[in-house]
Amino acid sequence: MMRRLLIWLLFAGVLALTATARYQPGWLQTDILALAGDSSVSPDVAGAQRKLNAQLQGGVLWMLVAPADNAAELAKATEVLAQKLRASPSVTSVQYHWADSAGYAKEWKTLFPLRQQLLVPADRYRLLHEPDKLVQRQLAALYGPEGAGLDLQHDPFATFRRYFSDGPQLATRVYGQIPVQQRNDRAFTLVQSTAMSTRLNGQIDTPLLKLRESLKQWAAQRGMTLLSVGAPLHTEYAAAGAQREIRLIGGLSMAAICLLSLLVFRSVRPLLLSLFAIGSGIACGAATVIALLGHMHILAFVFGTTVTGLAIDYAFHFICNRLRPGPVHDGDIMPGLTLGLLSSCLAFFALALTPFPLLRQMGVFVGAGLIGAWLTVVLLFPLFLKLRQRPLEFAARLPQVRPGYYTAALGFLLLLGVASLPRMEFGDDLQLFYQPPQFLADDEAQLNRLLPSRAESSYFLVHGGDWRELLQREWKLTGYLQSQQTAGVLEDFQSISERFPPEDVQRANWQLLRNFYGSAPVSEFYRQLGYGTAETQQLVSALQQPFRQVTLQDWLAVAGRQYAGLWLGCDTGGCASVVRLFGLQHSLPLPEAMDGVEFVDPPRAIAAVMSQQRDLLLRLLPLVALVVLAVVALRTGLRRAFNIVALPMAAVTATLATTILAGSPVNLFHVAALLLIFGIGVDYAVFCQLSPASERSYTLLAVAMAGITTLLGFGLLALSATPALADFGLTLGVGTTLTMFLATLFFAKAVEEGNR
Amino acid sequence: MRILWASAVLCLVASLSPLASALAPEQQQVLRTIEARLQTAPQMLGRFEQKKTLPMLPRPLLSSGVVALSQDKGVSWRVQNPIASHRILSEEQAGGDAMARQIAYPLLQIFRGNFFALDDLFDVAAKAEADQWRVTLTPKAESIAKVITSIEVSGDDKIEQIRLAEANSAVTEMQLLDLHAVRQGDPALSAEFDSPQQEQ
Repeated sequence: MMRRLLIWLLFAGVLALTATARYQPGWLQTDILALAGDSSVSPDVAGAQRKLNAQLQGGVLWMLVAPADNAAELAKATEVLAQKLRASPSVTSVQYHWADSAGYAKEWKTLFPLRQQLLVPADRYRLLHEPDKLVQRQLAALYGPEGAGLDLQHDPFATFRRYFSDGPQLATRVYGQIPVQQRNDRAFTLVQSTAMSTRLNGQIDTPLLKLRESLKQWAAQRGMTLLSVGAPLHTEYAAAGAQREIRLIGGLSMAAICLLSLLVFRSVRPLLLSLFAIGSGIACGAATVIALLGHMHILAFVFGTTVTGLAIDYAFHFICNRLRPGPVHDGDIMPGLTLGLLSSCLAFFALALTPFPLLRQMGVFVGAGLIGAWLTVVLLFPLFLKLRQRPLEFAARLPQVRPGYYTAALGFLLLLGVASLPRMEFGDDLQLFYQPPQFLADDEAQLNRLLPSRAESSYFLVHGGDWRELLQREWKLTGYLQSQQTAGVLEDFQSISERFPPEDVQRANWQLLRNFYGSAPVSEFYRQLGYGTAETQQLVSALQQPFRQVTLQDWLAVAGRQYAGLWLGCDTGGCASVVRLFGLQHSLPLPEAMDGVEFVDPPRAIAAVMSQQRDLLLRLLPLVALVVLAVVALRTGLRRAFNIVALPMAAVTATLATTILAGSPVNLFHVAALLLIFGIGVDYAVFCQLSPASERSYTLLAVAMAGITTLLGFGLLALSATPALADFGLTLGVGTTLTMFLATLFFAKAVEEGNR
Repeated sequence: MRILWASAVLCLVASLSPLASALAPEQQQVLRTIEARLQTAPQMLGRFEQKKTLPMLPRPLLSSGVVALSQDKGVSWRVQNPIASHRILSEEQAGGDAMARQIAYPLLQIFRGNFFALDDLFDVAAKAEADQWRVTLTPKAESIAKVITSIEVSGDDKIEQIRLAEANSAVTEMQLLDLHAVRQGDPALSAEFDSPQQEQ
C-alpha cells in the first residue's frame, strides 16, 4: 500500500522540480491581446498598448467646476484640493500648475532658432495660398487693442509663437499658477493625479472612491462640483465588486458543498480528500503548463481551473463505490474511471495541438490537471478513505419509464440544438467583463462636455525603418487626419510629426517663409510701419535664418512630455510611434492602406480576439466529440460508444439552443461552459453505461453529487454582476441540469430493462 | 492633455507666487467711489483713437475707429484707419494667440468698469481726485508680468484713457471718445457685433 504513496510522491516531486526549473516570473499573462496568436497582433501593438496603459492606468483627472464669475475662488479651492489629494495615502503624485517652466524654456531655446522651418498647418496654408492674410493678421494685431508681446525683430508674423503655443482654443486665465479654463458659463480647473495601484489583498477596501466621495462633498459645500475620471476608480470599483461576489458566491457554494458532502457521506474525510484531489489536479496542470509552455494566460488559467473541477467526478465515483456493503472492491470502479479520464484527457490534449495560445494552454492545463487528480484518486484514496458502508436502493425506486423515453429525450434535445443553430448570434464585447457604474459614467459624461478633447482609447501605430522614414509616414497620416478634422469626424489629434515635421517639410516651410519674407507684401508691411526702403531691406534680410538640421533625438530631449510619450523608440526592427486621437465624433473611416500605419482600437481588438477564440472552441467541439467516440469505442465497441457520446452531445446542443432561444448572443464564456458540460456529460455517460445493475444506486449517487456540486460551485456564478461570469454560470447550470436529467432517465430506463 | 499644455505655455518662465491677496480697505473705498462715478450702461457706443509706440518702430502707430460695448456680447473694436480690422473681445474668448486671450479679459472688465473683478489677477492701485480718477493694474502672475508691466486706466464719469505698458517698453494708449449709452437693439450697435471679425 505504501508503494502507492511513494509513486504519488515521486510523481509530484518530479513535476514540482521540473516546474521550478522552468519557472519564470510573469508566467501568468494578463494581456488579453497575447492570446490572439502571432498573426493578428504584432509585438509592437502590444508594446504600444503597454506604454499607453502605463501612462493611463494610474492617472486620475479631477475637475473642479464653478460658475464662471467665481474663477478666483475656484483657483483658491483648487490649491486646497491639490493639498488634500497630496495628503491622501492613495494618491502618489499631484500636478495642477503644469508650469513646468524650466522644461518649456528649454524647449523654446532649442526650437526658437528653427523658427523659419516650424509652422502650424493653418499658417502653412496661408503661406501657400493667401500670404496677404498673414500680413493683414499682423497689422490687425499691431493696430488692435490686445496685441502684446510682439517680436517684430525675430518673429514679426508670430508664426513661431503660434507654433509653440498651438493647442486647443479655450479661454484660459492664470490665477497665481493655476490655469482656469472657461466654457460657456462654467469655469473649471484640472488636477492630474497618480493613484496607488489597487491592492488585491482580500480586503474589500475602496480608498480612492471614498476619497472621491468626501472631496465631492467638500466641493459641494463651496458651491462647486468635483468631477473625476480615470482607470484607477474603475479598477477599484470592479475589484471591490469582484471580491464581494467571490466572498458571497464562493462562500455560499463552499458551505453548501460541505454541508451536502457531510450529509451524504457522514464524514469529513471524503470532502477533504475530494478537495485535495482537485487541488492536486490544478497544481499538476499549472506545473505542466509551466514546464511545457513556460507561461499561460489568466483566462486559460481560470477556464482551466474550472474544467479541472471535473475531477470531482472521479473522487465521488470512488467514494460512492466505497459505500457499497461487503469487502472493498475499488477495482470495480477502475474501468469507468480510466475510460472517463482517457476520453476527457485525449479530448483536451487534442486542443493542445492547435496553434492557438488559449486553446493550447487550456488543453495542456486541463489534460494534465485531470491526470493529476485521477492519480490522486487512484493512488491516495485507497489509502486514506475510511467510510462506513451503507446499502443504497434508491435507483430501484425511480419511476419506471419506457426505454424509448431516454432515446426520445436524446433525439429531442439534439434536434432542438440543430434547429436553433441557424438563429445563433454572436457577441463579444468588453462590457462582458465590466460595466461602469452610473455614478462614474455620469462624472465622465459631464467632464467630457466641458473638456471635449480627451484622448480616445483608439490610436494609430506608425512604424518606420528609421526615424526619418517614421516621420515621413506619420506626416502622410497627419494629412489624412487633418482632412478628417475638417470633415468634423475628429476634434483633434496629436502626433510627433505635427510638432516636429520630416526634414523635407521643414525645408519646404523654410522655403515658404524665405519667399514670403522677400515678397512685396512684407516690404509693404514694413513701409506701413514707417520704415524706409533701405531699413526694410535690412530688416527683411536679418529675418532670414539658415536651415538647421535637428535630429529627432535632439528634439525629443526637450520635447514636452505629451509628445515624448508618443515616441515608442527604435530597435533592430525599426522605430515606432503613436498618433493619439481626441474627440472622435463617430467611427473614423480608415485611410487607404498607408505603409507602416496601423489603426489600433483596443476594445475592438480584444473583442476580435475573444470572437476568434470562441469560433475556434465552437468548431473544435465536434472534433473533441470524435476523439472521445474513438477512445470509448476501443473499449466498448462502436454502438455503445455512440450511446455514450450521444448524452453529452445532446446536453451541449440543447444548452446552446437554450442560450440561442433566450436571445442572448453567444460569447466565449458560453462556449467555455459548453466544453465543461461536454466533459461532465462524457463522465456521467461512461459511468452510467459501465456500471453493473447492482451498483446503479451508487453510480447515480456519485453522478448526483458531482452534478449538484458543479451546480453549486459554478452555477451560482449566474448570480454574478459581471456578465461574462453570469453567462458562464447560467450556461453551466442549464447544461449540468440537462446532463443530470438525462443520466437519471437513463437509469430509470435501465431499471425497467432490469425488471424485465 | 492639450488644454493644460496650452495654458502651461502661458506660464513660460514663472516661479511660485502667492495667490490673490485682498484689497486694502481704503483702496476698496476708492474703487467704490470710482465705480459710483462711472456712468456705465449695458450698451454703449463710441469712438477710439489708439497710439502704439513700439521700441523697434521709427514712429508710433496711430489708429482710430468705433468701439461698442454690450453686456452680453463683449466689446467690439473696429479699426477704420489706417487699415480695416475688427475684433470682438468676449468672456469666452478663444483665439489663436494665447497672449491676446490674457489681455482681452482685463480689457473687457475695464470697459465695464468692473475693477473688483480684476483684483485676483492684478494688484489694483486706485487714486481718485476731484476731476479725474486713475486705476493702475499690475499683473500678479509672473508669466503675464513678463509681457505686461501695467495697465493704467483713467477717466471721470466715463473711461477716457487706457494705457497698456509692456515689458519690452512698448506702450499702447487708447483714448475713448464720445462714449454714450444706447438702448438695447440699437441698429448701430447690433451692426458692430454682427459684422464678421478679423481672422485671428
